[in-house]
Amino acid sequence: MSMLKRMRWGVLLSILAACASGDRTLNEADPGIVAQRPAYAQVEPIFQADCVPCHSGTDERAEYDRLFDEARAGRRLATMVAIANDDPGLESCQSIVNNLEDVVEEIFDKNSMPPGAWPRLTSKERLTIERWIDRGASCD
Amino acid sequence: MRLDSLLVVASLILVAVPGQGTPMYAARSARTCDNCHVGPNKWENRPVAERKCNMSCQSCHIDPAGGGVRNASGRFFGQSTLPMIATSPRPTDDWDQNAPLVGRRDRATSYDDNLPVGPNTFTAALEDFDALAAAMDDRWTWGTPRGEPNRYGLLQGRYERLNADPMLRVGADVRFAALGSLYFPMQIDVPVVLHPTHHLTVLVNTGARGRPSGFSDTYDQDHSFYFREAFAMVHEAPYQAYAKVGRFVPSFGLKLDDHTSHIRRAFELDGALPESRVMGVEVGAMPNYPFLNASWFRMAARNRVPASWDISDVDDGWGSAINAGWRDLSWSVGGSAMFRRRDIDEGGDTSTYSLYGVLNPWRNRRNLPVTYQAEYDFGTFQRSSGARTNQAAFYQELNWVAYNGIILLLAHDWADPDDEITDDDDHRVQLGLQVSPIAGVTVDGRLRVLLPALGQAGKDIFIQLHLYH
Repeated sequence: MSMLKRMRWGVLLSILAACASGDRTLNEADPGIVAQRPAYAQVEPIFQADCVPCHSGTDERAEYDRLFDEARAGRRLATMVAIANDDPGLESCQSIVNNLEDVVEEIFDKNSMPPGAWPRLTSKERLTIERWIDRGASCD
Repeated sequence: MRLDSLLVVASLILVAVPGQGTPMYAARSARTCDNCHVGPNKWENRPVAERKCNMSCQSCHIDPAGGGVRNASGRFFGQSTLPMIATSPRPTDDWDQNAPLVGRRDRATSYDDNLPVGPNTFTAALEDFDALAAAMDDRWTWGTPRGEPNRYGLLQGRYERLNADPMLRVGADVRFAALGSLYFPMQIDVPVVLHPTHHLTVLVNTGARGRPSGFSDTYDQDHSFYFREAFAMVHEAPYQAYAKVGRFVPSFGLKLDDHTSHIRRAFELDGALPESRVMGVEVGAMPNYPFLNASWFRMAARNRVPASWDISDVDDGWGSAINAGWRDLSWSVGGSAMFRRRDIDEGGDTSTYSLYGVLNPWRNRRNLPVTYQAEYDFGTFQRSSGARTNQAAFYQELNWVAYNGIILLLAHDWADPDDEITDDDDHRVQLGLQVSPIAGVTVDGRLRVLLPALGQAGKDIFIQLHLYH
């Protein structure tokens, strides 16, 4: 087959392939693409690029959820708003770990972050974070 | 076949209609000559080799690949056609395009010799050079290049009092954005263009990318300011041929200012990122309607931010791109291909192809001021595991110019970043309003809706203030 013919078929197949949609998760299709036990060093660039532009800060107090729940139980709306607005940030490993419940909810349950109409995390980014959390979300 | 596949196929059918490759401004400008310069009476078309007026990027921009600092023609368009309140005579065909109670109603091309006209031949421009140069009143440009004017450069006097061919030009391009409760500087560019002698230009554009977290983070981050473009160019040649060497973004597909679009971001062509810049050589020519740009380059590894001021900071891989097509007055079509060859550690191989076009029925039907552009990109890439797979992206945009300076737009983009993986694709729809009250000021407001295959839809209102000179 001539070079030109091969290129023509290549282009045609690429167009057809692009119109199809896959049916496997990245974990199924290419399990080796992400380390089985990703270190924080592999997760950090994702948070830096996609989360920290809005959630800057390294507040590492683990009191956020407790304070918020207390305020909610006491129906102290102003306190709830103040706590919600006081973003602890996702700039350090510990601040991420402290907010892990929210991270899981926003990234995996809802797929709602980055917010609004910004592109969501890629399959590889999600798999990296998922494996890091599954293996204990270690900051080492 | 899924809904998104049907949409892509339907869109491809639309794209099969002839279209235009450059942004909407260029497509619209084909309606009338006096969009871009005062229309000399009794003009006679020059031989093709000498024609400077076409729908390609270099008609309005100093970089022949488009975007960034504008030349005298682009600045004239920005004064006469783009805004609600023109500061140069309104083009003939736009006389009735003024927003109610705003704008001027004098015609750029008088046809009765009552209004300013430019020289109608190169010889006339040469004969009147001193008088025309003395009549210039143009801040931010200085001098003229050494030597006699040449017939392939822009002629003094054709752009009212703008300096058509300055030795030094300093521009500015600033974008502020509001997204929900966030206000942030999105982009700051300071381009400096030195044109010491005819046929030679050096362009250095120092820019910074903003961050939604605010001003301090914008200035504090590493690589805040960097050479977005830095190249030397030989140009002003027959058929508008040029060759440039330095740092630039390869010419590929449509030139969009929406750097978040999938057709740019997914293919390492995000105009906001230093990572999208390459170091190489680009050559091209635009003999009136056809155009060709081709480049060969080296680049930093994918996702590695190259040094801000060292344009030679590249890794071992190489790439090449070609962008060619036909840009006619009311339609155009184009195709691009780009290849990157590098080790997996540097991002792996990619082969990307693009088909694009624009349709501008406004040129033929004055009561139909709409312009449509679309691009479909597809190709292969290597995942970081080395596995080879396919990706695709699509973008389309429809503009309705309600009045000069008031534009409604509807845009849609889609991407499937990996055709083997389920639920990684998304659609995004934008409904926008662009208002340009005066030259150099545009407010762009958009309601954007993201429809990811997985999880919640999201929407936001994105407002951008764009100031440029």
